[in-house]
Amino acid sequence: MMDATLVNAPDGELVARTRTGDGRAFDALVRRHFRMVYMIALGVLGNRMDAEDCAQDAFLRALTAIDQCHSPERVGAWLGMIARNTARNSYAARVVRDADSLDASHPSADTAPSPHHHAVVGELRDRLESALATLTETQRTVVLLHDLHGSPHADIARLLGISEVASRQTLFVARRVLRERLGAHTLTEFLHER
Amino acid sequence: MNDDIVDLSSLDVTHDQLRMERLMREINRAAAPELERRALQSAPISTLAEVWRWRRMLVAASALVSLVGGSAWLLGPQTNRPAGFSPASAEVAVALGVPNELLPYFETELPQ
Repeated sequence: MMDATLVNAPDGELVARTRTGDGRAFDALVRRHFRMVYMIALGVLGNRMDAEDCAQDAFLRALTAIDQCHSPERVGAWLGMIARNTARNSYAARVVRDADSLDASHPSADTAPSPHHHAVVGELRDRLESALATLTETQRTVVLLHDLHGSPHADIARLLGISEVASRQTLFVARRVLRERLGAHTLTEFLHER
Repeated sequence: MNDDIVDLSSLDVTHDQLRMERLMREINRAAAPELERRALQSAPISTLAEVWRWRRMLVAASALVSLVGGSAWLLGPQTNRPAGFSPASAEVAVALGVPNELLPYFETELPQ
């Protein structure tokens, strides 16, 4: 489905074409930035299913408001801001929803095993989510964007409105907390399995 | 410091191609109405832009049509004119480019 001619098209061109209703350009834009948007949503929300829903929602909101993207060549940063706001709104809604629910202990969808993943990986994924849940929103976002998505500290700092030094310090603390929560044995098992 | 990195790749949804394609389909399906609206909206905008580009020619053409139409009306048979009408002045005929040979005719039509 991905249009080969759009793979290397600059962001500005994709945004311009999306504004005129070009579905292929929008598809290319989503594929290019989905990972980053998903990581931000995961950092705020803490679990994959909600993060996937949030990422979808963020792209749809971005499409509706794409005329307000004043720097199309830097659409990634703009999408990041939308993803963060969408995720925060989603988190607030979830808090209200969970407060109304008598069974608010664990989201059932996350415990369902994926048919495409090995059981051991699935178990560790759940542990990772649990460990991530112990971090602050900022710590989760920093560690996911830096260690998983590969974003530089400058971009993360801009997104979160903190300094680069603060981003590095946050990453250091987040990694240490994760290692403490997960334990060396689990990590070794996981890495061996991979 | 990199030794401290925890492998979080199992949380990366983009590693699962099937799941990613499903997500892409869902996003594109949900985005279809808005994209369609934008596609429809962009067409009239481009037509208006084209009209705007030719605005000087359109104004000139309108002026020419008015001039020719007005001349035909002024120079036409008097029977077609409202009762009591007469040309204000032969100068109007001159201004409209009427040949000199025909000017005496206008002079005779001037109100006394």
